[in-house]
Amino acid sequence: MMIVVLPKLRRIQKGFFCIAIMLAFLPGIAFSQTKNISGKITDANGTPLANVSVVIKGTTVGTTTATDGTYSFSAPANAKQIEFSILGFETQEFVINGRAKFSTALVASSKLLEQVVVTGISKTKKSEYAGASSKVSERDMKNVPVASFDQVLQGKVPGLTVLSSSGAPGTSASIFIRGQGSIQGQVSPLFIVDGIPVEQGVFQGMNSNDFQSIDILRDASAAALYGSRGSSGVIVVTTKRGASGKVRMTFSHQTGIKDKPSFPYRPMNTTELLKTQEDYGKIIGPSASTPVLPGYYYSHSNPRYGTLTDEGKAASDHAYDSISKINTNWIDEIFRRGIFQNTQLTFSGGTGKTRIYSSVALYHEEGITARSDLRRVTVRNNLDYSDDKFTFAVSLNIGYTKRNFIESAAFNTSNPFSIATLSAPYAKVTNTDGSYTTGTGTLYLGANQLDITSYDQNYSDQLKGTLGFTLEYKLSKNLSAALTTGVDFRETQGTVYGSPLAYQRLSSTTITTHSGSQTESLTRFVTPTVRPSITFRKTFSGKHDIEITALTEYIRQVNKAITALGFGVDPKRPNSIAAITQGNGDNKLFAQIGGGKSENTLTSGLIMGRYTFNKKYSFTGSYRQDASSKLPSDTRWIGFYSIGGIWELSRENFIRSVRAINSLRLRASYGSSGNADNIPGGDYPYQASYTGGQYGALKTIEALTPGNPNFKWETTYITNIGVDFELLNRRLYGNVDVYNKVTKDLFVQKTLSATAGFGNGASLDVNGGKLSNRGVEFVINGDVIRNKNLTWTIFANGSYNKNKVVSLGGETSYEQGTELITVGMPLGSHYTVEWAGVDAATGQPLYYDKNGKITNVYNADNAVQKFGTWDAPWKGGFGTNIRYKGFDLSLLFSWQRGGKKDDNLEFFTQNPAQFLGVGYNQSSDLNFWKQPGDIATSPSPIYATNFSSKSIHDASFLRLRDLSIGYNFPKGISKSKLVSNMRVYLQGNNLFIWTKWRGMDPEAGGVNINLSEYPNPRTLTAGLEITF
Amino acid sequence: MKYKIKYSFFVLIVFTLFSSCKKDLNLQPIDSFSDANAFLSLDDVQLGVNGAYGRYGTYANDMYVNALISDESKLGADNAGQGAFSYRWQYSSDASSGGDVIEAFGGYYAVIDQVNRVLPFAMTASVKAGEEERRNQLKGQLLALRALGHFGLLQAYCKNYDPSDPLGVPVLLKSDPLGKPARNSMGEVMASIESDLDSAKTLLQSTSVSAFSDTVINSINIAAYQARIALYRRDYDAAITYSTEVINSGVKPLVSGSDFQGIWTDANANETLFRIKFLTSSAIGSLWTTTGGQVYVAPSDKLTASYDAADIRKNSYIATNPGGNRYVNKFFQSSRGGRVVDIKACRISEMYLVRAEAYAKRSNPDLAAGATDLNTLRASRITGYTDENFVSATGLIDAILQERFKELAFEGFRLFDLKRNNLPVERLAADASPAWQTLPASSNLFVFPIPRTETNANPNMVQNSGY
Repeated sequence: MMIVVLPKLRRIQKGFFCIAIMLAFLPGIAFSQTKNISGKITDANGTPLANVSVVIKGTTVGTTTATDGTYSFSAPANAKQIEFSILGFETQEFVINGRAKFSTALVASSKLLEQVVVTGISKTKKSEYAGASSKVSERDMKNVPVASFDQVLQGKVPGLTVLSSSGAPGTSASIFIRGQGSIQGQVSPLFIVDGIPVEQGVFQGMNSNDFQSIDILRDASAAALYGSRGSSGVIVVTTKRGASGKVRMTFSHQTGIKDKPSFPYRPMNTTELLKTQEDYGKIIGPSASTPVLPGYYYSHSNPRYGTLTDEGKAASDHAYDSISKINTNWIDEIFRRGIFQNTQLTFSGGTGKTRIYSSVALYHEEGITARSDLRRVTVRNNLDYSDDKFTFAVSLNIGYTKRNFIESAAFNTSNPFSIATLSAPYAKVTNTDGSYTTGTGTLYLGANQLDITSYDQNYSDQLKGTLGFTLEYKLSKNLSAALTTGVDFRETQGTVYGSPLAYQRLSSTTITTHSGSQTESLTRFVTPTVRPSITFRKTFSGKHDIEITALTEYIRQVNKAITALGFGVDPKRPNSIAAITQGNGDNKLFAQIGGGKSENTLTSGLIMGRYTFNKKYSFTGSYRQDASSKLPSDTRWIGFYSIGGIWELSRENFIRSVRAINSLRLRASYGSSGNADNIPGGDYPYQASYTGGQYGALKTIEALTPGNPNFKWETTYITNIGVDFELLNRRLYGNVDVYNKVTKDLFVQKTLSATAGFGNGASLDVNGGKLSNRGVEFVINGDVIRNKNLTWTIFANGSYNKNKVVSLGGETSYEQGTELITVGMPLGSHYTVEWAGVDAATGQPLYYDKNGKITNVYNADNAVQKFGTWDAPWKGGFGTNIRYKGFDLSLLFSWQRGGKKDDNLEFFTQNPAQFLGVGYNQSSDLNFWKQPGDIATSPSPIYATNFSSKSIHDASFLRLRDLSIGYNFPKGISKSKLVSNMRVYLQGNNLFIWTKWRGMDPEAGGVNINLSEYPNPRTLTAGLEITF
Repeated sequence: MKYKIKYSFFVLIVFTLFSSCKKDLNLQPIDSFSDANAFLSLDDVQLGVNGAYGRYGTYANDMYVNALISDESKLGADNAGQGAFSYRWQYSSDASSGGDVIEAFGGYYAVIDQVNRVLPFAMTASVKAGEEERRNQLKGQLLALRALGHFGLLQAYCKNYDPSDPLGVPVLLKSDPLGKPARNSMGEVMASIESDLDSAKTLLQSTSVSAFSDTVINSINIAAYQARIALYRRDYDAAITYSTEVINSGVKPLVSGSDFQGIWTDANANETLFRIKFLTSSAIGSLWTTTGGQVYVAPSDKLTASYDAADIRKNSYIATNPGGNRYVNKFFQSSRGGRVVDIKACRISEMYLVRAEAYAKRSNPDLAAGATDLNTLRASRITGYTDENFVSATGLIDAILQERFKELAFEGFRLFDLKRNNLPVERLAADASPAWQTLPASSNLFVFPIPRTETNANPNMVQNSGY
């Protein structure tokens, strides 16, 4: 195993022990003499600049400025130079020479080029970073009213696919970077918060208003730093740190409403449905003469009517009339207006060496349908200590989240969003006594759902903690050692209560269902990380700048889950597993206990270096050795590497002479990385597993999974070439990147021979295929107007990605979801039978066979793959920021183009044979064949509707994602100087969408098919922020 | 000095951190067993052996397809397509139509693989003093089950036995999850079967009448399978030797009357040499008729008419439900309650029939000895039976095959018997429409297709002709 040897360890002045010992030592540190330095920093227009980094040059001693631009800290008495730096401004230095006050105006600099790229392992100036990265800063994500911060990223960063698959409060997005890089493995990126890796997809317990920035690292330079886990890209969150000076308290409150989005889909109203049923009955005949289809049953065109007596006819007409008068809009019944509230109290401040940032926030969101909400308390405490040798940072976040879930997210009769479309408009919601009109049959669909929602419970309590500690010690002028440790912890307790009072259980004959059920579950997920490192940095002869870092890393993931399911629940105690009835031979209510444990380890060593010559040419390189416990011992170790180069073209004379170019830089990188977090098959995929079973009365141990003893790393190679530019007096700036991402030894599904012992057609994931993602990304910003009172910036970003399965390593194509994994096709390519329309003469559904000939026989073997992929190749965002005096306005649009999605709603709601015919409501645009000559979109109801390309539609969209208008009150609004800053704002999210998609939301549901998933709500909020 | 201490501390931290690495990288599953801990002791191996027995339950599929494809059955009154592709001889290598006939391919290899996984551990598992004999018992059972697995494959997926026929099935003697084995010749498969059974018999030693159990493999039921297999490979002297060994052991005499009827409700263990146990599953009880009483597959009129009125088998095997529809009464009900019945996979009556057929078929037929065995069996089944004399070997053989049809109906023999004797399937007009009345002996359908998933996954696998 790698051990970092410290060549100059003898020079250690202060202890470098384990954290516990360090903490014990803390109060005793730092006795050297100090003096106070203070001042105020503004921009060229005199506007105070907050968060300017103030440091004694060559040390880590310093602070940041407050919102009013002031700072104050104690510096060592022997400090020589002071340095002021902040993103977007030229860094300024002053010789201290006994002065105690430094106030200055910083000059706006290079917009993007001097950004700091936080990789989670290191902080690098963008000018020294060879990779492709983007930063989302605080202002771009602040106050966005969602509980899972990953949802914020859509449209803000090129190359990033973010699909908000559900509008349920707290749901995380489907997110991947630069196309899908794996088939059998997951494709979500690695998430790092303050240097600590955190669990993918579980972000509800984090408050994004505490985030300073999010860096999205997309290429090999970043991927190789994370080696075995970097191939899907890395998203690095940096949280806010305390600003030196007197403690400032900020109170912010945001409140608003959430509503259903507008969508073109409309279910039939009573008049339409009754008419449609009549049309249906006329074709189907006597078997449609049932009260389930009142539109035909009571119709005069039903031969039954002619057979009735006069009294019977009158009764039938009366029944028809009374049904006609009911017109329930189930969309209105199911949706509700949700609310949003977020209140936060933040303390930030510090003395010379110690700074704190503390916040406590209360978040409350009620979703747009019953029983869906999220309440959260988050507490963050970030503590920094730094002196001339020693830096110590603690980042601590605890979140407690309680969420209520809707009855069912699957497509079934309990899902409110499928109910809203399928429930008959002539069904009543409530009886005269206010109870729901429950019953058996499709007529009672909607009321049964509301009934069960009102009785049942489904909620979870989640405790999430992310704790990070970083100790850094300057061993000498050029050498520093650091230790980062931390833990990501999550415990979720779930409760699902199925009430015996709900109609659907009362009416059930299954004893366990009828008696009511209670499920309690507990999931625990713990990931500790330890990462010691040592960094050497030196500039030789003023021209040669070298930085080398070596580190080792140890990460362990431990999961545990327990579930208890009991029956016979007393409805008076729906919150306790104690309410169940103990099972016995008579009542047969045997409780079920389940659960499991699993763990994995990742251990690594990394050495990375950079050499810069004359600030003109930089070369970077890294080599990382990784081992994962998920792989067999002879393939578990692997080396990943990256190389990169940066050429500061603008420092060359031939560019310098071009006045229009302020800055120009060329970057290139290449490297390899792995997919450790996303290895398919759980934590032990290389091992054969056995499970206990039963043969007659005897216990058995039998083979469960074959295990793949040849399992090895899936490796991704990324080539990236990029240009950063600033033109026309730095008014036009941005970057362009092109990349080629190739995944080799791709995990693919192999069909096993039956001789393997797992039956006919069993499969196993093996390494074999090759996958390619190629694309281009751009970011462009333009400062249209830039003066003291008015600034107007326009920005846009976009990307194109071409995904292709290059090889399956000799394995045959296989189906997955709605797609067929085929060599030469992009992932996500829909695979189904091609729809050829409705035969105008007979009303028969027509399909194309494999040879392109029209046939009226549906055969799944005729499936072809020519309907595009759900993974939109084109995506991006654009918007504008305007600031006029105290007012500001910002707009963000996000879009994607070229994605095709299967509309499952259409299958159910334009389906005369299987759905209309049994009493479900249909789409208002259902147009089925009724008589010869009809040009219809749906077949005659005598023919079944099959899955075909008919329901695959364009899911491109353009969304007005964020709109915010704010006003910053001028200084001195409070005479007492109690209030130093005040801001009010209005914000709208998901306000409009332009799309051809007819369903509730083109993003919601599975990425490939919508299954009546919770649509993303439209949100309007207003907020107030006061700093004292 | 002070520095040295601190330096040591740091090195210690880093060292302890990473010295634990190797251990932390060799993680074993917690929720399931792995090769490292599945079979440590002979008790564990016993559980593995139990698993192999359980998987041999795939024999139920032989019972099902032998009935469906042959003249034993017809589609029942409530049939809605169950088994129809098999009954109508429309099966292919694809699961959509060939689901019934390809099932055993995966099933028997699952038995073989379970054996191959457990067997090495049976050799290496730690043994307490005096347990060496137990190790042999477990090894013997495993080897025998492996032989039965291979024999099951041979009967279903190969032509009538010919040792030189290259299209046997792959012989698997060790677990190989990623393997793509080619087919061995039928002779090679047979050699492996015989070798496994011989080794098993040696390891298992002899069994006394009192110690005999029909739920485990032992030297006597191995002899019974050796007899069945000897007849299959047309070694009639060996068939006589093995069947005589079983009959003379006296463990299971032929029985009559209620003792016979009780066999089929598991009220007793009479006549049964080997059974596959079921505790709660009604898989066998609902093979032909659902637990709700829907008759999917019914006994054929041909079979029903074959029984003499005084034949106890008639009502033991076939019954009529209140709706007036005949159903398979064999394996229908359990004296333990409900429809949980065991598979009676090998019975003593078969040994009488094996020996009779061998006497009749051997190069110098012994008609008297053959007739004696046949008459002995019939006498135990038919009230007031008088012995029949046979003057020709053909006449005796015909009578024996007819007797097998009647005695072993729904036990997984009929189609394989016809195939073994190069005979067609001939159904009555009452049992099938004209298209499905005769399956010529030359038809490729007697040899089941290799599953399409297999030929896709394994390029070395040769498909049987006609599929």
